Amino acid sequence: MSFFRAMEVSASGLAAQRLRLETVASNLANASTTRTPEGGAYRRRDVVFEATPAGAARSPFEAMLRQVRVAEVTVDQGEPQLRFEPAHPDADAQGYVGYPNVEPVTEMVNLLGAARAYEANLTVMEATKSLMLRALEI
Amino acid sequence: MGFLESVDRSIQPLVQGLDARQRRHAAISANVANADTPGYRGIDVGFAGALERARLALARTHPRHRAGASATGADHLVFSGGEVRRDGNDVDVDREMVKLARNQIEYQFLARRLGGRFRKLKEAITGKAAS
Repeated sequence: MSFFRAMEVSASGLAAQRLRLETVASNLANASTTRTPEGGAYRRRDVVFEATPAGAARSPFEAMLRQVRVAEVTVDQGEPQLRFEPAHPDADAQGYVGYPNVEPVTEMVNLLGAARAYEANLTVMEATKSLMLRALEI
Repeated sequence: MGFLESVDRSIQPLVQGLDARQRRHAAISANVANADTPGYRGIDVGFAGALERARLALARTHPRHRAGASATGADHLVFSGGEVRRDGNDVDVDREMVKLARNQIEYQFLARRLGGRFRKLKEAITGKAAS
């Protein structure tokens, strides 16, 4: 029954986009964090999406269906932004503090993209549900 | 031609149509879920071939020829072939949403027609107008 398969695929899209939203939230929340367990300033996170086969295929068609998953969360290795703040407890010998390489505009664009993609998956999910219910009325 | 045979013949194309729309819906779901996946190519279900087979099957005139024979032909899968973006993905979410709406209407139309066929059959069996 490919309707249930369609639902699983949409669910994978919802989960992946939600994780993307969470990384954006983490980046924005830590936009000024100068201390981390791994030492130094916070580094921005990014998700990498990957298309994977959607469950066991019972037909050539189902073998072509792909769901999405977050393959990995990457840590941006870009240089921290240095600001001259000698009074800051995390300042180096020259008085510079390394701030996270988080760009609020980039994060907001990512946030909007993730939110829209989430909505699109939700719309498809609703459509699947209504088609299944329609089939029950035959 | 027997009565049941003619009923079967009128139902088969509808069932095939519903099946194809259901597959197409699953293909659209996969495309929307992978709209941001680098390198993903959108998929779609080709209808033209399926429609052609159904029409050929209906054109048979001999009573022993059955339309059901075309049910085995699977719809072929095609790559939807949109414009490839820089990340290697060619899914256009807006276009997928239009396809979704259209596919949904087609499915509902076919489902309603199929329900109508069964209601008529019931009318013929019971001799009463079905509610």
